[in-house]
Amino acid sequence: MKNQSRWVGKCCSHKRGFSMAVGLAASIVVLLAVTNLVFYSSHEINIVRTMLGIKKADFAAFSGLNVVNARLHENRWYQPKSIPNQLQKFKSSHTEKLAEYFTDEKTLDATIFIDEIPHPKAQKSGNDNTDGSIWVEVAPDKRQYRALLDHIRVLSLGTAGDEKSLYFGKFIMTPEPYLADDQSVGHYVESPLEGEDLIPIYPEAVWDNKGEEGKTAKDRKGVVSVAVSPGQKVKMGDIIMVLAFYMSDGGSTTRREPVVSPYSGTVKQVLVSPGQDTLIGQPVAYLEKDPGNLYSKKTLRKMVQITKIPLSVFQNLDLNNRENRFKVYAHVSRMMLESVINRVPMQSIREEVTDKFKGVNETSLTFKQTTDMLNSIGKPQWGVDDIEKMFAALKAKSDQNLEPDIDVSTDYDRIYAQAGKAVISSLWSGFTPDGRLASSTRKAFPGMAGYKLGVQPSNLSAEMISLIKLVSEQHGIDYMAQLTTEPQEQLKNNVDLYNIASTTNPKVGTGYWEYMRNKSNLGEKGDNVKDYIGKMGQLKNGAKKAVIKLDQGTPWEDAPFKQMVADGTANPDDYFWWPEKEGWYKKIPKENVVIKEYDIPYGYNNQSNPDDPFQMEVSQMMQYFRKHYTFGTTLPPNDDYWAENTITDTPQAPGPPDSTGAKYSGLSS
Amino acid sequence: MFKYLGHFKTSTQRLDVLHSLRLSSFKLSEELALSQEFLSPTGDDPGKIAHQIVYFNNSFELIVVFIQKEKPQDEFGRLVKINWTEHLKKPATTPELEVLANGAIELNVSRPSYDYLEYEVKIKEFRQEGQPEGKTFTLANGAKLRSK
Repeated sequence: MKNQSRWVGKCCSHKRGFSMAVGLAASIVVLLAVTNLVFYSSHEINIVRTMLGIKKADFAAFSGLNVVNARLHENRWYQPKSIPNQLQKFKSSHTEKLAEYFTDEKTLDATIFIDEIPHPKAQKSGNDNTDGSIWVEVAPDKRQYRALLDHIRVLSLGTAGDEKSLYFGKFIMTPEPYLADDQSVGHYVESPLEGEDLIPIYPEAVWDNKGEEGKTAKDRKGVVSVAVSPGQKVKMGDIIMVLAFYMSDGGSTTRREPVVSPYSGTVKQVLVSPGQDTLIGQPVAYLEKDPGNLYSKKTLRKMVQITKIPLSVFQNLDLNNRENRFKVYAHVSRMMLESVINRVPMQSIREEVTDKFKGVNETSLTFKQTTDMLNSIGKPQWGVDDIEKMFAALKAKSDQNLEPDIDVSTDYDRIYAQAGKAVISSLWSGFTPDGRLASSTRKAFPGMAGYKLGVQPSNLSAEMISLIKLVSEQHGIDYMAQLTTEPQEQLKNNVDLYNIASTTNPKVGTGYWEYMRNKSNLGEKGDNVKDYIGKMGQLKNGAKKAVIKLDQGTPWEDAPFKQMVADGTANPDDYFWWPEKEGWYKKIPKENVVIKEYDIPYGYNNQSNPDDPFQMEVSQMMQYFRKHYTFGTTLPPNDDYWAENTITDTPQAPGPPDSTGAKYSGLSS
Repeated sequence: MFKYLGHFKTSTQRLDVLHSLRLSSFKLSEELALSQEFLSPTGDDPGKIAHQIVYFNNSFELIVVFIQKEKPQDEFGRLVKINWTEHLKKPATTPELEVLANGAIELNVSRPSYDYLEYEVKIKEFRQEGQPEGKTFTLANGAKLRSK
């Protein structure tokens, strides 16, 4: 029994040992499995968390870009409020944390970095207006030389925990705002048909007839008649009033000056009445130009070139440092360059690619099927053997703030300019203003555009026509024929160049685009983009102006002139009778007859929403399209602030317009 | 227990495949959102399903995303991407394929509106002959052009 119990005990101990070993092994296996599961699950959770973090950071960054876009459509909020006619400091860059947008999500954050980029042709000082700097009347007799802002670069850094995402956007504005300002709307564009505040009309400066120097009063003229009253509509060239010259001793003369309306519009005030005198330098009337006939004060603004920056580009950069931000811009610059240069060759095969893939019904393809199909599509050309070399050359030029599509000097520049023109025409043909239209009207918008010439048909005054005919007889030259403009000529063939309909597709049909392209020989490869915009945006020889200077002496009334002839003091062959003026005038030398040609801009006019028509100068719109693809300098500016160099001065009193004598002029359009 | 360990291993493998697909889809939708233009599907018929995505990426390069199979009758393929512009610039070289996901069996793409594209990718577990059929996973995603 004792032995048995010993055996049983031995037997059970043996079994227990085996069970324990098995249990231990099972526990280890289970532990390993659980550990693996935990490890794998945590790994899985980490991956999901990382992806979620990246997505969140991405949205935070993109939200930041949207916030900046919305704010910039209001103004440049980070600048001090602009006080007119005062020198102020304006920041060239700005950094801001958008903390208030993510209050519920503590791990989320967005920081925006803003860099203002001046116009490449902006100057600190100069005598003349340039593309990048202009003189602005800030007060009567006071003007400022102001540089223009080309665009605003925005970086938006989104963070979610440890994850980061960076977006780039370029905010463009056309026309450009002043650099030293807090506004994002464009500077005022001087144009003849612009609606604006009251315009004073001044009598012309007093001149002397040849041989009569000092005999005419320089300080005043008398009002003979006034042809308009407040509220009356007038056209450009209409006679508003007639003034008379005085002799310097106060005696009256027969010399008259018709004061003409410089613009079409409405007379708002008439400051003189017949019988009164008016002082030289004082306005005689105020006019309000017709608003929006061709141009408008609208500024096109948009965030373009939106790009996600790869982490490898910015992960080791402190973006608070401006130089580091410009390293990021160098990356975007290269990408934009590639995009522009690739666009033309790629667009050339676009239709073919689309058609090929439209016909593919297979759910999968072999490598050979794919490459055969792509190889069967035409071979696009970049125009150079070494594309990388071209990129490097163009980028180097752009980095130095030179514009390869404007400063064309090499084959690479020409290729870039050609590509730029393609971008402009492509954006133009499908243009819809940013954020203005319902989606239903957006599609129809491009087809509803019209193009209006800056001058509409107008005739010379009867008085001017009679004078031109008299001068034509004297010189044996048909000045009236010389005054015929191209729109007038084309109108005889039933082609209306004053108003041209749009065309939605630049490649087919007829319309403004086709007419201007054919007329301007836009196939010329040498054209830079500036010339292209000039040719496409305005009509050469759209209007002509005749100016006849009558500075050969005071005209004579009929009776005293006949007496002079009888006395032998005047030779009738030297004079001509002007029936409309009832006076004898000395014959006018050829050099006193000038016929000038004017290039007249076209206005884009879209009435798809009659309550809020979209009207803008075509060349301005083309500049806006150009800014979609250009990038500009990647050299950081030296200044933290703009505008300390803004010059203010008092201009000299203007001299007589463009002659030293009286002149009769008229616009033929 | 070993049977369960086997299940565990299969599940983790599945998850790995799904992960790689998810990451690829993540990157693809991002690239599509920042691209210049979608070429295929054309969007003429918003309901029509295509099986390739053709687009101009941010740098205006022509990209084609499709299921590539060694032979048309193969069950399994790979979801791949080809940058044709890159090849056109260096015509002497063989075009390179970037593999986005293995085990892909289907890519269905639709374009409900001009600037919006939706796609679904189906992948299937690879199983040796004689084994039960592998599971099919479907991942759907979409992309809206951000620059338009």
